[in-house]
Amino acid sequence: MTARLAPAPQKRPHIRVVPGRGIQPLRMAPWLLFTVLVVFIFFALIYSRTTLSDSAFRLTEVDAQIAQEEASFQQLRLEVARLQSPQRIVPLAEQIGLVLPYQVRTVEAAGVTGSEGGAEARWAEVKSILTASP
Amino acid sequence: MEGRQTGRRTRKGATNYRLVVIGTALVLAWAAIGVRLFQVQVVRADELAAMGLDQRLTVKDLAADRGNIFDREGRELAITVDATTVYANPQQVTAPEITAPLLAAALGLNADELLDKLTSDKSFVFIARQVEWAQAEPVTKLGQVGIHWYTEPKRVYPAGSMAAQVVGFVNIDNQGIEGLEYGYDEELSGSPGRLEAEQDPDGRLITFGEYEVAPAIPGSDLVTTIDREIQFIAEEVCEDTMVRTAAQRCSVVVLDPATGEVLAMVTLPGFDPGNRSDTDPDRFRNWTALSVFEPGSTQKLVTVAAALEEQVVNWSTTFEVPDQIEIVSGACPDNEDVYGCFSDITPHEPRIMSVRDIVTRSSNVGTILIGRELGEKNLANYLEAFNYGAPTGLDFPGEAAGDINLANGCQSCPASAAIGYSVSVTELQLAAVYATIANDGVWMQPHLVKEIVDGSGVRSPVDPERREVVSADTARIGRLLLQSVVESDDGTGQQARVPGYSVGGKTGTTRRFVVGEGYTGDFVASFIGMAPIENPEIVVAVVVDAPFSDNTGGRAAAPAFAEIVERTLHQMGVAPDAS
Repeated sequence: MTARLAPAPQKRPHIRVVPGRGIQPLRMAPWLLFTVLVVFIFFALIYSRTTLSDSAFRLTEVDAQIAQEEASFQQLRLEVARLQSPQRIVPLAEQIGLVLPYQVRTVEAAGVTGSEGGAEARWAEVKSILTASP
Repeated sequence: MEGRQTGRRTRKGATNYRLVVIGTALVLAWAAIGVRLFQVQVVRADELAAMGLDQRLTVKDLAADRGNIFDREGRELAITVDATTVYANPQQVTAPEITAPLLAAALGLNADELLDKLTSDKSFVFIARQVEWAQAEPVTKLGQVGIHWYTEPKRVYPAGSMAAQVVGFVNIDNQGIEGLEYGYDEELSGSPGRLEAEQDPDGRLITFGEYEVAPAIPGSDLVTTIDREIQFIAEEVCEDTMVRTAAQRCSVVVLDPATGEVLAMVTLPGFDPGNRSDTDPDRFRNWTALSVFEPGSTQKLVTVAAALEEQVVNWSTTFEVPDQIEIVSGACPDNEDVYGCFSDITPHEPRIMSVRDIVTRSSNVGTILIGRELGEKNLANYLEAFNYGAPTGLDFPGEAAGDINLANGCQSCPASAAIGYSVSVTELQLAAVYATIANDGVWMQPHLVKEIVDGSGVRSPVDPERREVVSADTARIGRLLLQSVVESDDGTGQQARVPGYSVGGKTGTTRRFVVGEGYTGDFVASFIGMAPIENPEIVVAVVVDAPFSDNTGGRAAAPAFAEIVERTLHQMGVAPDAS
């Protein structure tokens, strides 16, 4: 039996254990905050653009609706004017037996005047409707 | 072991090489991107931005709303509504033989004509212009390729044919071409605006993009002096008169003598401005202001008023009046009544007649004698003062001036002019003369527009011209003489009497003069008067052109006058002033 020499103990590298300092939360926090902020701003920007676009679409729709309502208003105004026309009313009145009075008696009442305002009142009424229209 | 190390070094070298290559490639790629970015963002930035903007940017003309036309009470005579215009791009239409009948059925058009349009080599053809949405809507649901539509303003006239010659009408492009629509086209049209904005491919507005708008300035509204109810009355009576007398034309003017406002202006036969494609253009003419005629006996009021004003006569001054007077020597034996020999309508022995009798019985000879007392120069001056021979300044395009023919050397003209020949006037001019007498001698300029109201509501009232022509006393005597014409048993205007109201007026019957033909066998019958006579609220002129039966002013026009006066005074709420 051959005796073998025990291996000489190797020199261990000069290693030492340094106590771990763990993750340094204070140093990461600004970066994290910055990242969150950037992401937030990014999404906020996207959201604002989307909202603006949405508003634009809604505005277009409202414009279209206004135009439609305005057209409808004009048509109704036309219909009212046609319905009020004496050319339509007089033949209808004659159909149901109405005739011009054979004799007219006038009674004058003190303190009572004719219709007031006339054109001005009527025009003001019409104009208020017109200016109210979009 | 050495071999392994060599192999490791070789692999490491290869890896490094690859890394260098990739790194270089990446750097080059980034550099290329950077260069491109530099090109795009810096070198060609403006050019590319402009190209992009050009694709998104749309420029639209904003049509100005055409102003409305109202009657004096604010009731619509002309307004603008939205209408739909259908058009096609024949290059896009894939099956014209199917599309044509479908469109024809929906729009009530001729299928063959439509097929011709849809197979043409054009890229734009109108299918139907300015139809109501109810009519166009089925077309939009057909889903036919190449058929398109858009909205455009359309002028409509809710009152139909009422006051059509006064209001006038516009062409398909909303430009006024007749009547007030033409005369006030500039005020009614307004100014178009301009919109410059970005839009997405679907045509929706990008609100945060470029946006520039110059708003359209809407046209002004016209508030006319026309009263729709009185206009209707006048038109109805005029129509009945045409039927009764088988006349070719009937026209009426109703004036407010105190202001010169035209309350009604009628010419029949009329037309519907909304449907005039087959209408004789002659019907578009506003006869009352654009056409002249010899006024005949209605003119005698001017001669007598002038003589009264000059104090050469008073209402009771008498003349010995024969039934015929010879102005041009030798004319009467030849019975050349217009050119030098004048006669009364009814033969009579020479008789003593007062100025009142002369007017009441409408004596031609008597009026010529009054004219002689007045003198030719004075007569000419008063004709001009009453606005003969010049337009009244009515705010209506193309108003006629009329004429005074008192040229030197015309022997018979002064006598002719005294009784309403040798002068020509419009019905409106004559109505304004009577309104002067009704308004205590002050001539008021007739006008059709009461005020103009701009888009922001600022109102500009019309200020008509006024001037005194005769004194209030002369005017009052003139009114009493006119009352005598209607209320005396020997007056020529008895059929103009109105129950409950004191009325005055004058008949006129003249032979119809046609340029190029001379005097024809037809007559022009007229009656012009006012009521109530003490303080006239209205002046009404009725002219019946070429009546077949009842062809005198007293029979053709006076009854129409009476009916218009009665119904109008009731409409206005004027209390009766006579039993």
